Amino acid sequence: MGILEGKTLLITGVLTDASIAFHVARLAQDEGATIVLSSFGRALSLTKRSAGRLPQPASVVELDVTDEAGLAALADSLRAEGVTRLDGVLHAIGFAPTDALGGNFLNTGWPDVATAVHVSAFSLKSLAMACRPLLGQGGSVVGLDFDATVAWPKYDWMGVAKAAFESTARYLARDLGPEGIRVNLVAAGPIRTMAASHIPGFDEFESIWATRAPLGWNVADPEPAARACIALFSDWFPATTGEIVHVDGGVHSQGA
Amino acid sequence: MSRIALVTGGNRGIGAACAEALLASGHTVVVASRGGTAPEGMVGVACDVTDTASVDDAFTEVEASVGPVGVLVANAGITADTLLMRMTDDDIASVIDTNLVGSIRVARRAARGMLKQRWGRIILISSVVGMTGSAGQVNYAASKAGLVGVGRSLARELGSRGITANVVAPGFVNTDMTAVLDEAQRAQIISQVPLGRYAAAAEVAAVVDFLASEAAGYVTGALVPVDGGLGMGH
Repeated sequence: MGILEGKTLLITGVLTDASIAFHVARLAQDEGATIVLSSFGRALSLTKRSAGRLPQPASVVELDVTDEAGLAALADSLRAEGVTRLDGVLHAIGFAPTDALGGNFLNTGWPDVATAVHVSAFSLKSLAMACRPLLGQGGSVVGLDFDATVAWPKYDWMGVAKAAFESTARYLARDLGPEGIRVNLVAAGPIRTMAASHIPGFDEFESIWATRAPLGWNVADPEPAARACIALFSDWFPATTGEIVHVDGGVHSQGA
Repeated sequence: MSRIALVTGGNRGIGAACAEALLASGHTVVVASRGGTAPEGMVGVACDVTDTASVDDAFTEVEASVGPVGVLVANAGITADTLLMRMTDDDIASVIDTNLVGSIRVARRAARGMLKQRWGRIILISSVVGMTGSAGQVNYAASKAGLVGVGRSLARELGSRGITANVVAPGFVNTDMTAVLDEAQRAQIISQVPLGRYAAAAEVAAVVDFLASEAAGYVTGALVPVDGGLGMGH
């Protein structure tokens, strides 16, 4: 019996089989969950291809978290896929325009920052609210974070968006707690995914983690981060909300 | 390592074969064509290489929805074959604008993302006739020969940032472009090919796939023929 036996999860953000979300989906199915994927626009074709590589078939619904109409229709789209109840939703969504990353912090204009915050932070609230009609007691919202307590090289306005993301998670925990919905984040170390390719100078993160992680860190392995998500979706964190679980080889706990 | 590969004219012929080969190697493949469609598992984007704004929009869309392009296969090309005396200004301009200037446009836009990533593979699809010449193809041969200058200049400009630029010169390949030749023409061409046959598009794609790989990291400014020996000596 898997630790997610009988649960149904919505997994956003599966782009390729290097995506962290892909591994969450795979492990979730291994642990007995039923999953539905979401994707948007041009990425839809990639998500469907990746869905075919999962242990079991999974349908893909279209969802653009910046589209109000789509968000309002999400619950119905899921019902159309046979979902009567959601036990969890993975927020694995983020984007910052090229001018907002990579060493241009002092020159980025508000529209680009707004996009980053909208897609990467506000969307946590949007997604949770869109799923709320189907989430019940014991529902678990999990988001993929990157430690926003400090400034990182090149991460720039995406780092600001992640700070907003962490705060959004805390306020959502406050407001959805009474309904029995937990909201937690997994702050992962740097992982070579399609999303990471948007960050110029990603190699710098690799060197930082190589020197500072007490446990060491493998940028090519999304599994540890995915496993933490599975744990948060399970019944083994029943009284935990507003929490950030660091899956980073321990870097966040070390000064040098 | 998996990269984001964009193939112009990737909807058919050599471009489609390149897209498939790159997909099989584990890359995320974007097919850029005027129609904007793509087979299952690839991303499609509308792109007219004769229009700078169209090229810019296409790359911006790809960057927003998938990520920065790491591998560019500049393959989009047309022919307008006729003997020079009958070749119109439009025959000349359209072929050069699509094949040569179009490739420069996409390379220019792709280089932006590659420079930030400090990694890139620019692969320009030329032709054996660029070096040998071909009666009735003054415009086409000029456009294809021009790509050698483009590739080598890019190799010099971008090399220090981990970006390679190479030119692949296919010989005669069975695609829509060569389907218009009649039996006599086909026999005449084959008689000049040491290997005595046309190439399959996949044979050109295999070389493109190699040049796109990590393994080809020290190959730059090269002109690689895939022509069955037809163009030997250039």
